[in-house]
Amino acid sequence: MHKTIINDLIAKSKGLFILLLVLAVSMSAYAQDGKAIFDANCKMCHAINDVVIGPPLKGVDQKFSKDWLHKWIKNSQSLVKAGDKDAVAIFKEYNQLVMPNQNLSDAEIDAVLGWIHEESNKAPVAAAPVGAPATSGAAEAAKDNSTLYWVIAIIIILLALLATLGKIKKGLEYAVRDKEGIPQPQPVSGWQACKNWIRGNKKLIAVILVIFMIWSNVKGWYTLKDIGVYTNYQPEQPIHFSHKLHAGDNKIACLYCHSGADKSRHANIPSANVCMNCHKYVKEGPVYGDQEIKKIYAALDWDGTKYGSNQKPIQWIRVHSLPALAYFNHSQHVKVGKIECQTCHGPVQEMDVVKQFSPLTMGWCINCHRETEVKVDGNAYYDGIHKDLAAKYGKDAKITVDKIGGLDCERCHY
Amino acid sequence: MKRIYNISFLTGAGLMLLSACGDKQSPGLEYMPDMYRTPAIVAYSPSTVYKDSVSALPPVTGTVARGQYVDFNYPNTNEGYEAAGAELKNPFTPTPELLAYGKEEFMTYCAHCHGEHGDGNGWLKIKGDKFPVPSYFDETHKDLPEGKMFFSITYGKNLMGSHASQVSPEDRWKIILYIKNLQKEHAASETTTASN
Repeated sequence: MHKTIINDLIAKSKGLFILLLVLAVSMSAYAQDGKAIFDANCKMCHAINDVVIGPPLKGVDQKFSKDWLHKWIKNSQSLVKAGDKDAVAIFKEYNQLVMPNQNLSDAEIDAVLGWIHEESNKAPVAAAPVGAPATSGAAEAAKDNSTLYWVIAIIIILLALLATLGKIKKGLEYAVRDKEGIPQPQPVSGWQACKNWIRGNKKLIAVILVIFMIWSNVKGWYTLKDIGVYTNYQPEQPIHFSHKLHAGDNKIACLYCHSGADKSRHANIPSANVCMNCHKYVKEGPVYGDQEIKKIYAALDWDGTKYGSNQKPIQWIRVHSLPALAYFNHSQHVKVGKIECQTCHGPVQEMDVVKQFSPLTMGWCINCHRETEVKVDGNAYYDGIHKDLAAKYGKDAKITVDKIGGLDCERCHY
Repeated sequence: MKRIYNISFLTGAGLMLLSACGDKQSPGLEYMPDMYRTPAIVAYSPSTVYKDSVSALPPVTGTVARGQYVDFNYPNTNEGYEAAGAELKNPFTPTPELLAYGKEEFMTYCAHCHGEHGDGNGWLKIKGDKFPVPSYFDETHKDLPEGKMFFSITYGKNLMGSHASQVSPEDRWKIILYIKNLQKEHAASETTTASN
């Protein structure tokens, strides 16, 4: 009797358990589907909490009736044309952007709305993980400083100890002389003591001076040679833009931003609208969070949906600067010469802060012109010239830039 | 002897003072900078002559450079988009050279978001998530008129910004040639897999 009741209970609860399990699994599958459909169809223009292109979708299932939402998602323009008040208001608020008709079934729309409902009830995630590396960086910097402070403190303590010990020694000597009746020596001034020491160690002083002389002359010679040469110039820019992140890790082509390099004399510092091609969507970076990207928004007076009138240029600091007496043309080297950017600018894709890699001196230019072969193949311009050159230098000779006038003064100075 | 000693000591000390400026934040010393720096405005340098000190000025509104592409004067509105789609035609016809050039430009300006093959799977990621970019081969885009493509590159569309400042109109048409070719190839491969 007892046994059957227990068995019955177990059987019943088993059933309940299975029912619960099935319910849970089906519910999560439903939410999963909603997320997948959202990612595939809606995410290009919508987010839960932010304006992307269209409005944020937080709580949208509460604001509008299910019927209305279905109509809107399937064909928003028919609602607008029918003069629906809500529809017209949204259409106007978002600059008359047409939301494309979504080819979704009623069940799929319900799944998306269900997922949006779930997400809306979650609190917006704080930007803690992004801020974290920055704070730890600051802590590291503080730690570095603190070791330095410790070393300085120890040195000061040791000096103080030395001074005290010296005083004690002097005092004891005085006491000993006093006791044994030896006359006390005349006190000598510090300067006099110094002079006495120099007189006593003339050879040592001479050696030190000679070494210092040689060293300072050598160093001075190299300093003179570096006048007007800015290799390794690495100024801090107004925005912590990292070429390593953009060109290295994200593999964005150099020409995407410096689009003038194959078209004009200048390689172009991209204007901020080029930044916005991605940063309309990417609002946080991995190192500084939104701190640096906000500087672009400030420069463009961008409030998240439109540009304002209070725009200010970003004052980048020029790194590479040729003297005005030399003419240099980027397109000539990039387009015709097919020289890699890195040949002159170094591994920019590995630099967080750009520095000048090459000396950009005349000797450096000339040297490259002597060594680099001209890419004559497939360039119709060189067909005739190439024939003449082959006659002059022999058929298989290397045609380097200097052979087509790359060393002429007027090539760069005019 | 003593004089040589003194002179070299003094010059050494003086030069050392000069070399003390080894600072990454400063470009270094210049000898007679008047030979180096021109009073004319150098590209991108600020100048008090202009508003906001910006010397990089856009051309005066309405000016047309010689040889400039002028066939595009649609407003940035939904009507302009539709009109461009209906009226604009690609002035270029595909040749292997043009397609190769279009591919080169496509790889520079488009591929990181739209994907190497135009399937919307570019390599740019945000927190491990790909950018929400549509494929060129989905229902809305597989038969998109060339004029609408040109419009979108010029003015931007949805999340995509305007690429007019980076890609010249001629290059835009060449990129469109390449994209149309991608779509044609994709449609052909679809039908072969379907018939198989």
